[in-house]
This record gives sequence, C-alpha cells and structure tokens, in this order.
Amino acid sequence: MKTILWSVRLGLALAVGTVQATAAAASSEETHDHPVQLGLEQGRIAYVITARNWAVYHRTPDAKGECPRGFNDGPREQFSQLFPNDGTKRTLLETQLMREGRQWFPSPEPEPFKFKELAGKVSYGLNLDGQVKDNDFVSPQGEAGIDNQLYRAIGCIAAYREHDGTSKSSRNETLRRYNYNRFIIEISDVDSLIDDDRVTVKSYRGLDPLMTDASGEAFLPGGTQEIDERWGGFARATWTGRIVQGVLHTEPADLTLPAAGSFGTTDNYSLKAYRFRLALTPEHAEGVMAGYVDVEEFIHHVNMTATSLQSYGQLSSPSLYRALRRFADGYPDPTSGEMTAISSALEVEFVRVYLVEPSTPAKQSSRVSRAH
Amino acid sequence: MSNWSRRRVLRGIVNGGVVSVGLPLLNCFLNDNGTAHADGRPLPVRFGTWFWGCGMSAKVFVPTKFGTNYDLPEEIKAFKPIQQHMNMLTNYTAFLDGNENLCHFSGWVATRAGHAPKSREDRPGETIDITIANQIGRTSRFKTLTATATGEPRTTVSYEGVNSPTMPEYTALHLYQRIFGSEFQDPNAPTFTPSPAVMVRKSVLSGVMDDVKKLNRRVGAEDRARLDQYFTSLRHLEQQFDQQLQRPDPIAACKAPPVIKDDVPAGRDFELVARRHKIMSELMAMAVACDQTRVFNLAYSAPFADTVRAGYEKPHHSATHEEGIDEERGYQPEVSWFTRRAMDGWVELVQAFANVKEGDGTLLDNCFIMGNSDHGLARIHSLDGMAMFTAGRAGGQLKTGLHIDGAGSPTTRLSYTALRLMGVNANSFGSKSNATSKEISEIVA
Amino acid sequence: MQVGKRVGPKRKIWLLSGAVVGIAAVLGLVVHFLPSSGYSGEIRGTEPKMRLMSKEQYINTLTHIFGSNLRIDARFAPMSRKDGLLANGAAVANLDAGKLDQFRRTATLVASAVTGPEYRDFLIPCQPKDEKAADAACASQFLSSVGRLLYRRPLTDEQTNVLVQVAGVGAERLGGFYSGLAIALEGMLISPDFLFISDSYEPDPDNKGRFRYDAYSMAQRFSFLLWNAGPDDALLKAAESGEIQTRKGRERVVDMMLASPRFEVGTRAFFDDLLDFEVFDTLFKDPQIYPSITGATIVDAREQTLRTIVNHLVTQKKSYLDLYTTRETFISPALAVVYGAPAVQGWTAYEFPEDSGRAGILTHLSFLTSHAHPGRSSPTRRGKAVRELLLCQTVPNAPPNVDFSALNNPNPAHRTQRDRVKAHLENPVCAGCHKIMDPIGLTMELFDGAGVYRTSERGNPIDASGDLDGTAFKDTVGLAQALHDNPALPSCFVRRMYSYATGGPTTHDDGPYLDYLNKTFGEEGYRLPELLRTIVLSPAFSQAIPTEPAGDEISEPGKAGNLTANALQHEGSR
Repeated sequence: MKTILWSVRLGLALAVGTVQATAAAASSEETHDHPVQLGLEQGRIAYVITARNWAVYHRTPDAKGECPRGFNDGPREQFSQLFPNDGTKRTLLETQLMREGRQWFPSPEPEPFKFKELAGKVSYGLNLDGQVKDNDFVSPQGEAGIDNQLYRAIGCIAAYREHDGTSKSSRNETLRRYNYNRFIIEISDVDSLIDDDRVTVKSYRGLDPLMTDASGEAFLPGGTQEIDERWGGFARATWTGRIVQGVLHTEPADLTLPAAGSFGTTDNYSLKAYRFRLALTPEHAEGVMAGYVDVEEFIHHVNMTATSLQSYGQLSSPSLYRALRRFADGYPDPTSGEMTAISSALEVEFVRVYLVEPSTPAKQSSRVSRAH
Repeated sequence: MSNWSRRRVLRGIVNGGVVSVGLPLLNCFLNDNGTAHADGRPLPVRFGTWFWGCGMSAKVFVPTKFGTNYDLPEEIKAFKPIQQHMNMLTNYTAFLDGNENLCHFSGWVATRAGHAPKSREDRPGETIDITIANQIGRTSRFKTLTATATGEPRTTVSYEGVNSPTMPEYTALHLYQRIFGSEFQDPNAPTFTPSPAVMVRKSVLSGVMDDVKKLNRRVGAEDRARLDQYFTSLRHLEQQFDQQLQRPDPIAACKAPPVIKDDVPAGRDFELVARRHKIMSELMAMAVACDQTRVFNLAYSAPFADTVRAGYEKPHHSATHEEGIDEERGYQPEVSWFTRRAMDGWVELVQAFANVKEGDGTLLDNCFIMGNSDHGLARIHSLDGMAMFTAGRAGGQLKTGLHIDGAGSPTTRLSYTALRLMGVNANSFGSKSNATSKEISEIVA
Repeated sequence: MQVGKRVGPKRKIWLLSGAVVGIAAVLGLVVHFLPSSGYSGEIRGTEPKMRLMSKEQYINTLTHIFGSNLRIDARFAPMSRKDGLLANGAAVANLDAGKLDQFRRTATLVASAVTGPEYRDFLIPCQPKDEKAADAACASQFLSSVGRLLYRRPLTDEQTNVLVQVAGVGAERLGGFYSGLAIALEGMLISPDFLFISDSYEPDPDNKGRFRYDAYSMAQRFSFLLWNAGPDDALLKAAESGEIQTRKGRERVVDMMLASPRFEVGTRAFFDDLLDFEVFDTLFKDPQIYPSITGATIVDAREQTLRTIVNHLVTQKKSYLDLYTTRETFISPALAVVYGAPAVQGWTAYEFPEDSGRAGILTHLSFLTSHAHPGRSSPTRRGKAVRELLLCQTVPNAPPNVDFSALNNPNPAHRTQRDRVKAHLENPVCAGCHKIMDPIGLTMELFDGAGVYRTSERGNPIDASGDLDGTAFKDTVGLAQALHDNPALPSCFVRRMYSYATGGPTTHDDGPYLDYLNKTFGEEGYRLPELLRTIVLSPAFSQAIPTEPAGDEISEPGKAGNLTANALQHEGSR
C-alpha cells in the first residue's frame, strides 16, 4: 500500500492531485500547483469509493512465494476431473445441474479436491481482536496479530490476484459503472486532517456517476454526490475515530456495503465490526477497511457474479465455500458454536466529493435514468 | 403545367441516359514516356501537393552534397527508402516585394499563388492545384480532392478564388465516404447499370441553373461573380453525373480499400495526426489510382502548425518561437522532433503511391507530387532558404534522386515546373520578384 | 416573455422623436420613415446582400420545417471572419464545386429522411393515390408548401411545375412516388433560392427615389437575425399580406419574434460568432497537463457562457455591460470539478463566490481555456482576445524576425509568466503591441490554461496587477469592472451587432447612425432586445441602397469568361 506523504496544513492552498503535479513537473513549462480550495467545509469532508478489493498481499509477482503449489482449480478443471471424457454416459442432471446445485446449496462436507490454501505469513489487514494468535498474519510493515483468514481462503485463487484477476478487474469495472455502488464516507468534527483525537465518520450511498479525468482512467476529486435513499438508508452507519499523522483510525461498526456486480445485479455485503484505516488528503483517501464478513453472504455474492468470471478466474464456489467455513474465525452460531463469519480486509480508494442532501425521489429517479 | 417545362425535364433525362461526353485527349495522356493501361489506353499523369507547417532547421535538414546520392542529415533520415523516388530542392526564396512578412502566410501564398499577399485579408486567389485541376481534372469524378490530417476544417492551402478556400476533408472517415462511399463506381465491377437516380438528379440541375440565372438579374456585380462560380460548380456536378452514367473503363491498379467504419478521434496530438495522415495518404493514392481524381492536396500540418505531443506543453508552432537553441546541437530539439514527424508523413505519402502498381511501374511513376512549407526557419519566419520536394516521375517527365540548390531563386519555379509539366499553357508564373519563366530544369527529363 | 415592452426612458424618446417629426414636417425637411427611432440624421440604409447560409442556419431552418428528429450531419465549409464576424464572411462566400458537393450530399440525406417511411406520414400533408406511381396533386401540395418555407417566398407556378415534373419523372423512373418527391426536394436544397439569403428591393412608395427591401426580404432579414433560421409561416403571412411593410405591423412582428423561444437561438448564434466560440469545435487541452479538462468540460464550457448570456440578456433583460461583472451563472458537474464547487447532474444556477476571483464571462472556463495554449496559459492570447473581440481594436501581426526564446523557461530568474513576457516590453519591436495586450492578460494569469484559479505559479506568487486604457486594477475582478466601465465595450458591441444585422462590415458612413445607436443603447440600460428592436425597426435596416442601377438584362451566368465551352453548349433554355 502506498504511503501518502502529506504535510500540508489545512486551510492552505492545496494541490489538486499528485498525478497532476507529477505530470506537469515532467514537462518543462508550467507546474500546476492548482490551488482549488478543497479544504474542509465546517469540519466536514466526504469521499466516494473508487476501488475496493479483497486484500491480497502479493509477496512475489509470480505468487510462488505465497502459493508454492500454484493456484486452485476452477469449475472447468473440477468438472473434467469429476467427469473425464472416458465414454461414460452421464445425464445432464448428474453433471451440469448437479454442479450448479452444489453452488447454490453448498455443504461443509470434507473437500473432495485438493484445496491450495495461502502459505505466506504476511497479509494486509488489521488486528481485529486485539490478540496475536498462531494463525494470525504479520502486516507488510511488521505489525503482528493481523486477522485476515479470508486471505488464506482466496489468496491462491487466480480471480482475486493482482494480474489477470478476473474477479478483481470486474469488481472495479462494475463499481465504476453502476451508480448503485457509490459508497460515501463523510468525516465530520474534523479540526485537522493531520491529527485529530476525535472525529465522526458516517457512510451513505450516493447517486451520481464518478468523474473521470481526461484520460478516462483516473478519478477527479471535487465531483458531487447526492445522497440516495430512495430504497432506505441501509448504507448508513456511524463510527467514531481519530486521525493520527494523516491516517484515519476508527472503532468497529456494522455496515451494509452496496456491491452491485455483473449486469448491475444489486447486492450488498453485510460487514460486521468493520473499521477504517485510511490515509487522508484533501483529495483522496486510501487504505483498508477490515472486519468480519458473513460466510453465507460472501458465497452468495460470488454466485451472483457472472459464471464466466468464475471459470476464467478458476474460482470454484463450492470449494471456496468449504474453505471459508474451515477458516471462519468470528461470530459463532449461538447453538452450534460454529463460526459464521471470517476475518477480512478490503483495500479501498476514495476520491474527495461534495456531498449533497437528497432531493425528492422523483427528481432522483429522473437523474438516475439519465446518469446510466 | 406547361409543355415547355416537361420537354426540358425529359431532355435532361435523355441527355443523362444517352449522350456521352467524350474524354478529351490531353497532351499528358499521350506523353511518349508514359506507359499504358493493359488495353493500350495511355496512363494519365496526375498532380498532388503536400504541405507541412513551420519549415525546418537547415543545419540538420539540408544535405551537404548536391546531385545524385546526396546525404540524409538527421532531420530527413526517414527519406532513405524514398530517396530515389524524390528530389530535394533547397535554398529557394519567397519574395515579399515590399509587403509585410505575414508570418506563416506570405511564404506559401507566394509559392502556390505566385504573389506576396498585402494583408491577411488578401486571400490568395487561385492556387496552382486549381489551375492544374482545370487543365487535367475535368474528366475525373472529382476535379480535385483536398484533405488535412490536422482534423481541422480550416486547414487548407488551396484556394479556388479569392473568397473560396478549398474545403478539406478533415476526418479519415469522411474522406473515405466521399471517395469510396455509396456513390463510388468500381471501374472493375463485372456489371454496370446506370443509376436511374443519377439520371433524375441530373435533370434537376437545369431547374437549379434557371434559378441561378433569375437570381443573377437581381444582384450586384460582385454577387454576379459569385453566382457565376455557383453556375460553374453546377456544371461540374452535371459532368460528374454524366460520368456516373457511363460505364467506367476498367483500371487494373484500382482496388477499393477496405471499408472504414471508425474514425480517428478528433485531436491534434501527433499520434492522432499520424494515424489520420496514414489513412488519408492511402485513400488519396487509391483515389488517384481509381481515377476518381487527378489532382489532390494533402496537408500534414497547418501553416501555424499546432501539432502537439501529450506532456509537452507547446504546440509545434509555439515551440519554434519559444524553445531555446540547444547549443551543442545547434538547433531546437523539440521543434526538430515535430519536423521529423512531418517528414515521416511525407515518406508515408510517397510510399503509398509507390506501393500501387500501375502499368509497367507504379502509380508514383505517373504522378508529380510537390511538397512545401510556409517558412525556411520558422523561428525567425524566414522566407529564404526554403526547402521543397518533388516525388514521382510524372510519366517520365521528371528525373528523381537529386538534390538541387535553388541559389536563392524563387519558390515559384517549382510551381511553374508543375504547371508546365501538367500541360498548362503559361509562359510564366507569379508576379514581381516571384515571377518566373524558368522551370527547375535540372529535374526535368 | 415581454421583450418588446417599452421601458421608461424609451417612451420619452419616442415622444421627443414624434415632436422632431412634427417640426421637420412643418419645416418641409425630408425625414424618412422613422418609426420609433429618435434619430433625425440621414439614414442611409444598407446595400443588399447575398449571404450563403451557414451550417447552423441550414440546420435550424430544416429542423423548424421538418422537426428536430431530423438529424443533420452537415459539414459545410467554415466562413471566413471579416471585421470580427463570420457572419460577414457569408456575404462574400463562394460556392465552389467542393462546397456544392457537400450541400448536394447533405440534401440527398435530408430528402431521403423526410420522404422515408419513418417520417413521411407526419411530414407530407397528403398521400398519393398509388405509392408506386406519380401523383401530381400531392407532389404539388407538398412541394409548394415546403418550397415556400425553404425559399422564404411562394414558389412561382413555373418553379412548382418544374419540381412537380421532376417528382413525376422521378416516380416513374425510380418506381415510386416518394423517391420522385425526394429528388425534387433535393433540387430545392441546392437551389440558390434556398442556399443564398439574398435581399430584393423595390421602390419605396413613402420615399420617392429611394428603395426599400421587399416584404419577403424583410421577413428573412428579421428571421435570420433574430432566430438564425428562415421565417416561419406566421412571418411569411405577414409578408404576404404586406403587414410587414407597415410600421405597426412590423412592430407586432418584431415583438412576436423577440418573445419567441427561437430568439434564444438567435442570441446564441450571435454571441457564438462574436466570442469566436467556433474554436471549441477543435479545442484541445493536453490530458496529461490538464487532466480535469475532458471532452465534456469543453462542450459544457461553451454552453455555460451561452446559457449565462441568454439568461442575463434575454430572460432577465439585464445590461450587456453587467455580463462582464456578474457572478451569476450556471454549472454542470463537469465544470463544477474545475470550479471547485458542488453540482448535481444537469445544469444548475450558480453564483461564483465572492472570493473566487471570478466575475463576468471573461472568467468563465470558455474564455480562459480557448485563449490559452493546450498546455499552458497565454497572457498575450487573452489580452489580444479582449482587445479584438470585445473592444473592436486591431492588434497588429507579430513582427516576423523576433526571437521569442526568452519566453522559454530555463531561465530560473523567470519565475512567473510576468517575468517571461517582460521580454516583450523590453524589446521595442514587441512593446508597441504587447503593451496593449499583456497588462490585461497578465491579470488573467490568476487562471491557468485550464481556467483553474491560482495565486501562485510554481510556488511563486502571481502579481496580477494590470491596466486597461488608464484604469489600473489588481485582479480579475478589477479588470472586469474596468472593462465594464470602458466606453469601447458597448460601442464595439453596437458596431458588431449592426454589422451582424445588416450582413457586412460597417463603414465610415455608418458612423453617425452608430453614434445614435450607442446613445440609445446606453439610455435604454444596455439591453439587447431594445438594441435589436431599435436596429430592425429603423430605416437603416429596411432601406436598400442598390449597388448599381436595377437593370433588367445584365449578363447571365454562363456567359462570363470562365465557363467552359461544354457548359455554354448546354445553354438554350431561353
């Protein structure tokens, strides 16, 4: 994760973006110390999410370090193992439909395939329980006790990897494409973006498209998001926190994160005891959100994504389900005592926006139809 | 309904369907050195111009050797593959004759229209491409075709008359559609049916011409001249229709290019300009090969060349004035970079023509393409030490592979050479100091 | 909208001018047809013009006739700018073969869309007895009604006959009524009666020995000026009945036109020309240097200023001068990112904050980005634009043999643009011109080449002090006020508007009348609709000065020297 160097006091004229400043410095003429005043407004600052990915630490580019036995098999590979092309006559019910059923009605039976779990010791994420346990990870900066068992489950599944990660690129694509996914945080009671011992963080869902820059790739700070509560305020949550050396730390709180996926299918994640650790600038926020994610919901979300992404990303939903159940480490079922949630971390990027209170639902609807 | 008008309409139809307009046999058709179509028809000689803005840096542009096998300094290194197809003409002058040096204007106007303009309002009048088109362009579908790779509709260095800049095609897609769109008649198509729509369209024109005549009675002298040109344009359209109604003779060299559906995005970045220029060069070559036109103009950049490179904040023209001279190298490196990209364009154009086989040789053998700019050294807007090119052998009328020293003589000598070789009967070209009656004899075969 | 409603001072002037007319009549002076004008000097009128239709006029006219569903991809040759306006170039523009070819190809597309199955039932007022055959009655009905709108006067019987014949023969040859009709419509769309907006005149019955524009010419002069499109049915009716040639009728017509939503279109067209917004068609900003300027920003920047102008001058009827100081405007999300303000989707009203450094349309992105380089600002371009576009002053061409490389950056002593362009002022060859441009442009250095406000350049504070014709200021708000107070601002506007209205550059002889217009413009609070009303109702607009005696048999086209023998051979219709 990049550490953002950040030493400009608030209230001063602030650079619009590091990208812009770097590009201009590379050219010889005018440097663009853009003094757009993107400071705090009455102690508030809001950001909209522009990237979110389940945190996967890449120790080595070829993944040999953390996945010495390679990546897991996906639906196609498992299918041909189960049903080799050996002349046996099989019915549709016994084959494709059976596999489809397994996906939607998974069972925690012993894993029939070889599951390649993550072998490394280093992971992104946060120490969620305040303890340092044997199967915890160490952060890239050396912090012990990192809880991210989700990484253990998905770390050697190609779909989640940095390169050719089908699921990852698709998630970012859909995040950008569908306005349903506008997740906004507003930090209030802020005296300083550098150090503040008490701030409040609130989340909302927004309505508007993201503003891309002239390259079409990066996002411009300073856009506007109107709060969208046409279907209730389910994305609303509140955290208390503090800012230490430009980094926001919050206490945990439960959160429903909007996550429309393939073809705009609306879906949400129920995230439990999630907390932020974000480096803040007046234009961007970047870092992790970490906490527990419900296992059943996580797999439901996987199943809602296009099957092509699972095939090409070698992501077997039934195998992943079993792994999640094995590694789950939080929220025990009150009767069975079985863990229902798994520790996790999202790598996230945000860009600064102006937040506007919701107008009438009718107005909002007309805007949405135009925005799509 | 009067019988009179019905008769006239019908006559228009009949004319369109039956009467054919004979192709005049121009001198250039019969050139002894020319080769011929497979069926023995002589190959016509065609004319084209190419333009780039903001000149060059003589130190790294002008070869030190003259005559054959000249050296290729770094700014024209790209010429290597076409050196034998072209001539380098350096050290020519556009004379101002006491008029103000109108930056990026006087130079090309003097070269192409033969006189130094008095002001920017003093539009060039007829440029040589039009004079030549009037001579050799009357039998092809288009009298002339003009395109610019800049993507801007105002980039043109061709004028039909004082208030008639030739409108360029400024996108690759539109140039394609204009030439090879639905109205294109493939000369090699196995069947030919005269389009009834064209016949009827042609009949409309006489009514329009009547409207012009009526309007003509109501307007002042200047507007009558404008209507006159309108009338001439209608006549040309009529000829174009006539031509579409006749079965075109097969042309072996003509192969309609693949369909273009997506345009190059608008923009002045050199990469976009280069993409546009490449497509346009190839379209022009095929337009000429297919006898859709015998005269063309292509501009790589405008006189105030505003090509840009992303990340470098000055367009080409601004750089000529504001970039410092690199003391070690003795020229402006960024400016030179832009010039080199333009020269890549010239090579591309020449190769596009050289790649088309025609008769026993190539299409280029039967063309005379001239290239010129608005200045010598743009940094100081110099009008001396100007460089020009020719490419092609004009059906055997031109030698190639030479570097010629113009010794300060007028740039109009190249224009005059072009006029003469294209059969325009003129004893001289240009006025005052830009007047010349001397061809560049070194390159004439 | 009540554009034509009189304001206080105007009424006074009218009473006064009534008195002048009365006195003049007593004294036996010749006072020409002077409706609401208080001007008592010699009214010259204007020379008749033959203007080539612009692309926008072409599109507006056709969409008014055939509906806005008709998408017209017209790419006609741009006009040349004469005396500050492209509109003046229309009166000298030629129609060479290449341009005619463009018009012809567009005509084919338009005609096939209009007669095509999708729209024909809505656009053609009758149905043929048999779709596969000619139908002279239906063709005649359509062609004469559309022809009247296209040619801006009723077709002669002969014209209609020829077109109906064409449609008939076309129907026979091409196998259908609609195909034939399309060919006839194509013919109209390349006729000079459509493409050239040409003024006709007649003896003025009220002023012996003088000429006035005929009723149809008046209708098209009004409509192309106020609507940037051809006249509609109501306007042509006013011409047909002769109402447009009466004072009262003319007032009614003009007030109706000023109150029409089409007047907004006309206003936009004028300012698009005046402010040289054509550059936006090809404006380019370096995406690496200015990532916040996207294609949407460039489109919206032009729209923002035009929207502001229409709202300010037409809707609110405020002073033209205040356009240069007002902080009221509109923004879109793409612009808001650059202005550093919130904005929901669509266009919303917005007021620049007091401390934004922005006041008036010169501090809009439109002006700041278009008069700058792709990758940096340009004090010279901005200064030149203010002088030439808004104050009607001419900045001479740069001298050819000047080394500008001092403007280049490597010199570390040059911290800001001010230091760099100082070289202009130190070099006497440059100083003459740059002294009038740079002190304006350097103040605008408070905005970079993307139009973003800044107070420093590469960490160095920007000295934004400047000067406009003796009025000093320290920032763009001061510049805006100085421009607002500069007498050349309204007089330049009046000159351009008069020239735009009459189709050609103003001449020395127009001086006294322009002085009068300047005076009334000021007295009426610098209101655009009032100025236009004054102009179009004045004899200057309706009287014609023939360029030569209106002869009968002047030379015919085709008889002149530059035609080919082939062309002449085709003659014989007379």
